[in-house]
Amino acid sequence: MRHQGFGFKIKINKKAFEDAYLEYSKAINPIKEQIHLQEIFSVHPEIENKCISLYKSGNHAEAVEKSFKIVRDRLRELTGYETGAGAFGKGNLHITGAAAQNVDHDFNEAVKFLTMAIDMFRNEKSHTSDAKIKDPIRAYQYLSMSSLALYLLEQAEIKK
Amino acid sequence: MDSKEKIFAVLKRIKGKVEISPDGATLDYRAGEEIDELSTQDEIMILNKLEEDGIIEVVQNYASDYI
Repeated sequence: MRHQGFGFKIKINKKAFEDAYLEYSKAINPIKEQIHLQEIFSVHPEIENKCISLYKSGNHAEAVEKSFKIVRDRLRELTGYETGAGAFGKGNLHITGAAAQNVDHDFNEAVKFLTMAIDMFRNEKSHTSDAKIKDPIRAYQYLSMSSLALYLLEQAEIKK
Repeated sequence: MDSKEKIFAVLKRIKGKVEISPDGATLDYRAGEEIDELSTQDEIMILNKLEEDGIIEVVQNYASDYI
């Protein structure tokens, strides 16, 4: 063994590191890890019904993309506009449940930008077949983002 | 924990450091710092293996905090 001290200063070989990380993450029973994640973060039932089976079968990019489309569907159902900008702008969408009345605007801006971010991610990821999502944990994080948006949209109302 | 799980645990730890560091930065890794199923010796062996496999480069290795 060349290095025997406990203190290391290291640099990674990015490509080799990413390949090794992916290889070992698959080798150590990824399903076990995914279920563990699911136990920690309870995703929205609609994401669970439509995306988790794709995710579990290893189709991470498809699962993520579908979750983005579910958010768009929900916006369209609520306002007739499928983008965050359209729904909160022309669609007069309003989300109740801000922490206090004086921060209602901030809360709604936050949800608006969350849905806009989802829309931008959807567009960005749809340009490649694998959406550059190889890491199951990163994929789950995207699913959690869509899940949060859907939970927040449950508190939606249309402003008159 | 089997050997692959141990290696993956070290890779995850390194990944965590990479994600909060600038690209190409030298990372500090102290074997035995975290209390879990991995022993200090396990981590040292794994870091040696990762270097042999060309996954990391060990810039410096020391056995004391006083360098």
